Amino acid sequence: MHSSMRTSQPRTLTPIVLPGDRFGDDDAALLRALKAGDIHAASRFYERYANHIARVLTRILGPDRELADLINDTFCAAYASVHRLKDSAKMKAWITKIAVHVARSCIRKRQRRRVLWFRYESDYSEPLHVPEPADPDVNDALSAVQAVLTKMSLENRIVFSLRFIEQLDLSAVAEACGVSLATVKRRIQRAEGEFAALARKHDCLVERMARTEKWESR
Amino acid sequence: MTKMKSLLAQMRQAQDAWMAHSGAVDEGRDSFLQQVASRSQRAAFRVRWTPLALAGAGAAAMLLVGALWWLLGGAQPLDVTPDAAHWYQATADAPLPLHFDSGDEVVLSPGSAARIAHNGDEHAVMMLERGRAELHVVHRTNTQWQVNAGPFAIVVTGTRFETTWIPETAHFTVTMREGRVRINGPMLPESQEVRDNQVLTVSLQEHRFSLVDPGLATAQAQRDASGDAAPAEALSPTDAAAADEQMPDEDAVHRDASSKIAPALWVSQARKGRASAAMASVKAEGVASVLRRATPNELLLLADTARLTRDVALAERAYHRVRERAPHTGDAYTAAFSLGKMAFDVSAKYCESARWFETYLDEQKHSSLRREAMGRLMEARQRCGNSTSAQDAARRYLQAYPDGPHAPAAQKLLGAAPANDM
Repeated sequence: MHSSMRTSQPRTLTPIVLPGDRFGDDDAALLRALKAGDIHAASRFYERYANHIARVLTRILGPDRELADLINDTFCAAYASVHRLKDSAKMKAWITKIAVHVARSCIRKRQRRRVLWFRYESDYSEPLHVPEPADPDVNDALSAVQAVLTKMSLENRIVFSLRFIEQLDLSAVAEACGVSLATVKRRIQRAEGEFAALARKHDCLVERMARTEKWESR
Repeated sequence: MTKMKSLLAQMRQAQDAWMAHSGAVDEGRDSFLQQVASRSQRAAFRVRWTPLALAGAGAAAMLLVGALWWLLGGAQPLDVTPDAAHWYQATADAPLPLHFDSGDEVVLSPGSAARIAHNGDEHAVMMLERGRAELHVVHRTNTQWQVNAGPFAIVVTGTRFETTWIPETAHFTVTMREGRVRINGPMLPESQEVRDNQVLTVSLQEHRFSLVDPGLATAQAQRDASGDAAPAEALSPTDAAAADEQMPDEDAVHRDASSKIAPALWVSQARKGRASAAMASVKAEGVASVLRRATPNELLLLADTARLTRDVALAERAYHRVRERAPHTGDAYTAAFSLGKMAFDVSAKYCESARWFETYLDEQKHSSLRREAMGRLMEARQRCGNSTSAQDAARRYLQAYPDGPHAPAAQKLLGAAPANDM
């Protein structure tokens, strides 16, 4: 007889409605609970990083109709591989790397779909608008930037988005992309060149490009 | 800051605004936690079964023999004395009765499937994978059955009851015939007791549960018929609001895979015009899950209700969701009109309002709202600062509706621009 069956109390099953936070800011406790399969920890894990992950995915993919699915994919992949994470201090960097991987896979999958089914990345995106009142040219310029990013090579697009839109520092970009600092510096340089070349094909970006040497604000 | 850096900063802000508006984080949370919950159930199942892995082959052989027996041997009950795990599947057109040496009986309804393990001296575990099972457990000291159905666990010490689990809709019911059971699972208080003749229904998708006594419900129906307004004794320990829901009757509870779930609480409240109560129910249920599950028609109802309670952001999300879920339908056209109206009246975003009215007029060539949409389009373009296209809209309005309510405004607009011919 299985020992757990001998108890007279029923096993308490996982409630979908979750109680409040009981991990505070203790990432080590959160990681231990995640590894133990604690659903409360999963909920806290999500609360802690969901907005960050949503931002990372949106920086790379733009305003994407499938964002909720991609966030879910990121967290499911993280939850499935959490036993590999040793250092709780690296939790944010680790899940950021997973999000970048999910975004990269998504773009590749869509590129295949474009060849097979003539479905373009723009089919998955929604228009961006700055809050009114605004300069009417800005919305056009934002669309143009999104179009430029879509045309960039995949790795250049990722580093450019993370560095200049999300404004991660170089080491964080390197960690998110799983490459060395030197590699990411070279890649960012290439990405700037590629962005500038593509942007000059858009009238609404030409003037903005004219005096721009560097993008970062720090 | 260079112009390009400024543009990238604006892009970041616009993306952040879009993200907040999209509700993707809420949606992602719901589906992630659902998957984690089901994964932990599967993991628990694997743990329990790991020591019995070798019995799997035997169970499969047993299943084959059972299936052959069932096909060839008629409807005699199957007498089994399982000392390990067995999987049972009732055929689509006949129930599968299982009799145990202990005197306990399980009848799987047609199409149902279950695993039964640990049928030793004292304890047994049945995993109802799908469908409906009737159990008759003989009461003995220290005897215990546990029935796991999806994320629910029913602990039985001697009773007769039926239980249904439909994984596709995450719908769980227990109908008691005799005795009592205790149930643990999502949305339920710990060790929820269900006793004689009570019916427990849980819908995980709709985030609600009810516990009713059909006898009391019948009495209440009779009281209602006689004009007595005494309250029903419908129990709903964690959700008092569920008391005014329409409870499923017993026959409805017994329907398995095709069973329908009563409309969500917020829908019935919104239809009764109780907008604030409906919005409170929506928030209690989770906005993202309501947006995901509601039909296009219900989404329109949600949007209209949100608009009434001045929750503009939710109304916009619901209207957008209607257009995504049911493009090229009357509901989608109505949503476009409402978005235009809301942008005009509530948010004072006239350019956006004009875009929505243009969309509506492009999509909906004949409708009772067309006159209103054309008039609004004219006003929205004018306030957006686009006087040329506003005059164009005014001209078209007067051609179509020379006596319409917006005709004076249209004439005034065109009168202010004498260079334009009518």
